[in-house]
Amino acid sequence: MTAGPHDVERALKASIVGQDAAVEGLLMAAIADGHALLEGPPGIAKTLACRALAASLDATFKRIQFTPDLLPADIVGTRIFDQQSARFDTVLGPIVANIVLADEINRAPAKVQSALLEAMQERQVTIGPESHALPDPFIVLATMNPLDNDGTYALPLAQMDRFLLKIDLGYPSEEEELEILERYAFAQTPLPQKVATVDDVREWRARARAIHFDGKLHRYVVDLVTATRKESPYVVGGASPRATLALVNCARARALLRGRDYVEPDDIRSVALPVLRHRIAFTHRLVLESLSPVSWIEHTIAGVPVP
Amino acid sequence: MAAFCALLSMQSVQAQSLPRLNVERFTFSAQPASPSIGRAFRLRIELVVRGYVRRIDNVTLPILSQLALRGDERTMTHLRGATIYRETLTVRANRTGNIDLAPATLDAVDARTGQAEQYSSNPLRIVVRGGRLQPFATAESAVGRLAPIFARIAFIAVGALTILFALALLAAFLLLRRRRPQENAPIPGPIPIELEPIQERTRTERLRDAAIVLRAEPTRHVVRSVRVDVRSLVGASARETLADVLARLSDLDRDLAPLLRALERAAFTSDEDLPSAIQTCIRAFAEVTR
Repeated sequence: MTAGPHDVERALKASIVGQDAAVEGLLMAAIADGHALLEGPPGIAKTLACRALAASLDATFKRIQFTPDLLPADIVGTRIFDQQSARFDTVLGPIVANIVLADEINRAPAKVQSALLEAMQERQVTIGPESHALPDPFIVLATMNPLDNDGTYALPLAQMDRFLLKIDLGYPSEEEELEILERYAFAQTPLPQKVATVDDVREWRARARAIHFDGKLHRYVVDLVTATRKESPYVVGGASPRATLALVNCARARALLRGRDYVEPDDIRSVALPVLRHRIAFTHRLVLESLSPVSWIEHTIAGVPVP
Repeated sequence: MAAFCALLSMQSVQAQSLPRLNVERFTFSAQPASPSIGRAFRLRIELVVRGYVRRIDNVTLPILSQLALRGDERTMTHLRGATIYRETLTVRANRTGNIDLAPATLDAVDARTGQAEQYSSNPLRIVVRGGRLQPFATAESAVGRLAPIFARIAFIAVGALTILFALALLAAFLLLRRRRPQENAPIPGPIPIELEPIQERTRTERLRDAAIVLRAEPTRHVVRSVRVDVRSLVGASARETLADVLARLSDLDRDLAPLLRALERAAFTSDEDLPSAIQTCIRAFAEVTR
């Protein structure tokens, strides 16, 4: 009997107090075969969520701490000369894993980010003359800290676009914080047991692709994306066609998580903010007028008629 | 680039499922335009497209929940290089006053531009008369209809006063001559106007009508029309998803939640699941109209 995504969801929620939206976002990324960007202040279980996902799926997990002196070879691997055999051997980097946690991705310079993002897009790494396919599933979960911007390198929009969705994690509520105290004040945070396998993830993806997506909803998706491209004093560039595809894939994943074999308008509207929020370039006027990108996107989404 | 191509192919697959039509005319009319209450009358949808078209089945009728459907007849004729699609609905009005019908719609690919379009006919207002005197749907219509009545009364009154004045003159003249009193004719009083009250349909009646329409024609188009009608019953706007509507459902409308969910499923599920989804809707309708 294959495990369902709900089994993983339950396992994650047993380890992580609160952060339900983040748990759902991680599962959507896994089902929709995409990568996720997690943003939030330190100490709110970003890393724990990624480790817990890997543990529950019995998937290989690697963590890369991004620093300013990191090199591309530190991520993808390198070729080392073996004196005994008198030839070069390839040593694969930590990128070769099912789930890769790119911690504080914006602390590394652009060439390192590019090496990672190329692997995310092509799902293979090239070291010298050899190309190596990455395992399937291959999910990159990158974290960013929005509060501490000193010594960081902003990710270009083209690279941000490679992430299927961006999950914003906030502080837990008071009740949740009390529960964290009760559970983990004198104990290590336990990782969940294996409840599914990577084969199950591949099966969920096949099921998600078979989920019915009505033609009228295609129009709704296109309307949402084109609404971000309309002329506005606050926007430099709207969402890309990749965002359109991401909306469809995430809506299907959400429908699967809800136990449906068809997509509803609500699925699309619910995933619109995490899918679009990191793909739109805003002008400084937005900040000068004390507006936030999230409020602009929410207002734009709310203005599109629902089919 | 590959993503963009995939998106384009995705949209073209959607467009390919629609017929390619060159729409010339799309009208919606009533015969007569002001029918009497309880009497059958006809609503006619006429669509003229250029060229020979074998079948047209994408025309979506507006919700006729304020009218009782008595018959539906469709004809296709081909004349001088054009195809004329006529749909004649025989209906009966159960209440008086103005009934506003939304336009009929047609989803098709415009043969001239290759773009998927939704064509709409004109909307239609039917004024249902209720006996000798018409009731008033709005303050404007009341003023509009009462004005000629008051004008007529004023005309009669002025005429009567003129005659009375002439008679008085004549009587005075005769009195002066014969010194005999003359009795004036009595002045007619105002004509009493009896207005029929406008019957506001209850929520249950509207739901029952919607269920009848769905049972009579269990198709995706009708499901979507009924969904719009039920959503309007609970005050949903076009920018609200089901979750928004359910989140702010009043206690009075709380029982409609299963019906709204069933209609959402029927509106967007696959063709294979549609009959089962419609049956769920019909059961949900039965629950709320019991």
